[in-house]
Amino acid sequence: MEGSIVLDSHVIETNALEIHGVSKSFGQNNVLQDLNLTLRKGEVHALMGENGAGKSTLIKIISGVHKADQGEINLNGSKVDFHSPYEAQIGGVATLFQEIQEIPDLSVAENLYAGMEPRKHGFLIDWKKLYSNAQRQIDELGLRIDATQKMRSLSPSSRKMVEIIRAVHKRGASVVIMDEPTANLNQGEIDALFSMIEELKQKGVSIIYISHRMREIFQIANRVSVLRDGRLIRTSNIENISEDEIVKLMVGRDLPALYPQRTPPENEVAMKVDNLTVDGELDSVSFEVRKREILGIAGLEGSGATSVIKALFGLRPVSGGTIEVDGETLVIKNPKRSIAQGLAYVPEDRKEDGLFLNKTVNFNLVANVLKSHFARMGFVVRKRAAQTTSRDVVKRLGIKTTGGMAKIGSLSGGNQQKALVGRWLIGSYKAILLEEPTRGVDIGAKVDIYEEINALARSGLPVVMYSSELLELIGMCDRVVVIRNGRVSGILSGDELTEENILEKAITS
Amino acid sequence: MENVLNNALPMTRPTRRASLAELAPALIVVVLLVIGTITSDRFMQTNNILNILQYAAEPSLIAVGMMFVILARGIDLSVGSVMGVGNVTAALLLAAGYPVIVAILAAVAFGAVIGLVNGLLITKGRMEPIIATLATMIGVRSIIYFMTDGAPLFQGIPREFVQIVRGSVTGLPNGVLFLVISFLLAYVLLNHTRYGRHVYAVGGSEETSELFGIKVTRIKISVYVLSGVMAAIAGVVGASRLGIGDPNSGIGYELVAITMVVVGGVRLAGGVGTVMGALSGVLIVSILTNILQLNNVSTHAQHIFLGGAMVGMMLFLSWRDAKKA
Repeated sequence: MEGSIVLDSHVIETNALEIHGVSKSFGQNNVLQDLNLTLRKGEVHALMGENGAGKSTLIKIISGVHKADQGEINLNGSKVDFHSPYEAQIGGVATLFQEIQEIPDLSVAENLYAGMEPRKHGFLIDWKKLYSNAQRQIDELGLRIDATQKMRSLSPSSRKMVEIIRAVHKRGASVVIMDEPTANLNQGEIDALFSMIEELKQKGVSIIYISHRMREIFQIANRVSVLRDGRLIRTSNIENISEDEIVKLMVGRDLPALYPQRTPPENEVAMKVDNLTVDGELDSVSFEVRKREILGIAGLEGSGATSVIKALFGLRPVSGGTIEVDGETLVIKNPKRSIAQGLAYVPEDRKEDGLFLNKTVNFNLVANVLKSHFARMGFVVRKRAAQTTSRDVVKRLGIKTTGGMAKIGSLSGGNQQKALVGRWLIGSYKAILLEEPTRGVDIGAKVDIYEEINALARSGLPVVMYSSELLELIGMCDRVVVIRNGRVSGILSGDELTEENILEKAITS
Repeated sequence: MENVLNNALPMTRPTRRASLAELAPALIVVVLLVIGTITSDRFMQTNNILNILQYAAEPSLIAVGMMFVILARGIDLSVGSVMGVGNVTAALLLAAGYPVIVAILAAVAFGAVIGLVNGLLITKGRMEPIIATLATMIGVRSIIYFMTDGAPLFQGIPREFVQIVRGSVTGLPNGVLFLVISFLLAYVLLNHTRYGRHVYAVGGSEETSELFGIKVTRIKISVYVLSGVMAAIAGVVGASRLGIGDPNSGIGYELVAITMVVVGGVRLAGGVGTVMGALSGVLIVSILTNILQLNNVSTHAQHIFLGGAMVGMMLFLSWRDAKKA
């Protein structure tokens, strides 16, 4: 008798999910280090952390996308090792990634029942039953979605709801991971989602909930865990922690002295952005950049912050607003036009958008100014002159290469990045636009690149820079424009320029 | 709760009417029928109509297989060569005295094997479909020349084999019957079986299909096998129709088949397209060719019209997609 009671309480106390000492690195980048996390049965567990803290990697390991280098995962008391999200789903872990998992040109019902379509006469799909089953399931949840429609024709929020129904209700998951599930939902839909979550909790389903929205966390989470630099900093019951404390835990670092001494900007405005609008991404964004100023753009994923610079350079369909540089209104149409009007641009993804990887260092450094600087009669290239110039840049930036004729793809990431920034030193520009100028490079290269950016600003140019690393923005910028939901939610400068303040402005509360 | 939801969520209404894009190919067929009737007295004669359908049989068998491949976001350039292999394999075995059924099954099996090779190269070998099937297209044509020494086979093909296509069981020529049956089967497969729906799913998103538990690799291999089988059958039909084995059989048919499928509104990027559309594509290409022939337009110039039809359809589709997005 007593034995069975012990057994019962043991069953009750089994955690839904236990993560023991999980580590993961990509190359030399240690994304997760010896991470421990437990998920209780029937709880909503919020996972918080800055971009790059390791949240995404952690959920990808749990759901079988990535394999952990070390550590183990126990699901309902037994060790699991999933090799794909499908295996995880069969095993009872459903993951809703940020991107909606769907077949857009198939019907809602088919997306719900893919692989489990009801059949008649042995092999023919029973369409009537498929549609009515799916419709009943949708109706029971009080949603107004037509099961016969193609996914493509639904609103983003309806699509998300269909995905949730499929992952959670159809597959009978015991653990559900939701990565920013409310990103595209309106308030009514968020309420519907939360009541769905509440129902799941009643059934004993456990939920890992990732969101940047503080208010949601305090509304539905039982516990919260904060990750920073790939480590678990603290797990706490939601009653025992405040919003401020969470933000502090998320940040919690000192500013290292790797940023150059800045010279203060002049008062004269060099660049003026007025009501910049990109449908669905940016809404009336306005700011000014002075001469010698470095202006930072900050914002969380999905806030539209990454679109600001792309829009300025003509990589997004701008539907409204004006951009003035040195008092002249620019025509923003395409990158070629933007370069011709004096804009320099360092893209986020150097391999895709920035460099010709299988061309030489020389070629890459002068590619964008070949025609204007080194061509006779418009097209014959003055090769010698181009080489000399490129050699100067290599020297000035300390790019480590076996020579100007080496393929740029053979250089290290840091040196490639230096070349990407350095190419704009050749030729004359009126404004510099930078995206993630030091992504994926080591500290040494960072310092060089910071110095180079500083030099560009000191020469009198306005610099606009987007970075997901807040420390970098604080270290480099005179002012930082924070974007939230496609709008400017604040412009910070001087002593206000702290990680806490930026996050506060960036997080929807 | 119910009220909150009802107010908050946009109501999505059922729109199960066929869209303009889906109907466009069928409309073009009608327009071509009208043009044909106006421009030539002979066009609407029963003989001419049967003629159109009979000549459409071989490319349309290939087009049916190609449709599955393209729906699963692939492409099969080897079909012309596989048609040739089916053609000469059947002819050689018949000339050597094997029974008709053996010759046909061997030809089809040969096609299936080449399809399997394509599927394995693309899935297990992770090759681009266009490269893998280009390689088999070239290689297989070479095998044909080895098998035949490059010379057509005129002798030893029995009458009963020739009757398969030229004869008539239903009153319609059998060749036309094959066309109808293959499209009917394709319709049932694609619209009423899990397999068919999963072909669409894989073409729509491989990653999501994987997550849904669909056996993506198996589906991808299967469409190439199917395409190989259909191309080999087309080769057998060709051998039967002409009563000879022709090592050059099928040359250029891959492009004809792709044109048919694409003009029929099947999206080259996978996941979208209907059997009605593909059938319309077959008819568009066949009727257009016939009209040009009846009006004595030279063979050289005919291709301009076919190319034009393809460009026109593509422009229409991209205009429609742009409007949607």
